[in-house]
Amino acid sequence: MSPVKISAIRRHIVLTFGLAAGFAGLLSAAVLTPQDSPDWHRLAYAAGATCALILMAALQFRQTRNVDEYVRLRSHEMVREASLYLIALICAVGMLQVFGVLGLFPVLLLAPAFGICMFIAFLRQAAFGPGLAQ
Amino acid sequence: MAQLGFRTANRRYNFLFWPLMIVYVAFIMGTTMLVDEETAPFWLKVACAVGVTVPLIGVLYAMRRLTDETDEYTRMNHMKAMRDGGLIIAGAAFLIGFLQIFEAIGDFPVFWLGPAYFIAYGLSHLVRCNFGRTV
Repeated sequence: MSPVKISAIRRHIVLTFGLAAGFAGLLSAAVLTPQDSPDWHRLAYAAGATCALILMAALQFRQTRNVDEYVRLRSHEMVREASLYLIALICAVGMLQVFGVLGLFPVLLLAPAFGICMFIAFLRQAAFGPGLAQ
Repeated sequence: MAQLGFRTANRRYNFLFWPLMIVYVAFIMGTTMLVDEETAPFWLKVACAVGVTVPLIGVLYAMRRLTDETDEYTRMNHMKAMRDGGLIIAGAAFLIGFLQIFEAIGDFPVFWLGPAYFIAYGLSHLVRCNFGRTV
């Protein structure tokens, strides 16, 4: 895939926010649907929300390939940091569960944790400079 | 961070990785054999969990340092594999989480996502090295 200009980043941000809004809307609709409505209503909303999430993940994947070398390396570094933070958190929480210190909880809580890890990685790059890309 | 080259970076990685793995295996075997979950005091269970987690975090640090210090080709290979591993695990967390919310599956121990990351990372690296176009 050939690298493109800064407009790719703008397009990426707009698409990400659009999909995030779609996800939030569909999930809210799934939660707020009255209990007496048919099951397929909530399932359809939930399926739509999952599709929005999958598209967001695909967008993140594409963004690291669709930009110039400098932005690509920064993006890769950010995702690497976020992945390592998330796995460190999973190891710590998992071990606490193994030893019975923590109980089991919904795994979906880890998904926003990945977003928070990405944000921390972003702040780290903003604070300490471009890192590997310099 | 300083780029040291492929050989030096690999050597430094191995010098950190293998001692940490030995410590991890010794700790996990020792704690599972010596600590009884039912009767052990709370502080001991927390100490065991922290003690077993520290070498794993050290391994993650070693992986991070390897990508900082190695040559650019290997760095890009590893970073792409780490990226793919992270995205696969985040996707798996979403999938398992939604399956739990819709009561398709029951409780799921978070611990298993740790080894799953290393498998996803390794497979992604293997596939990229054998079939992928790196640059």
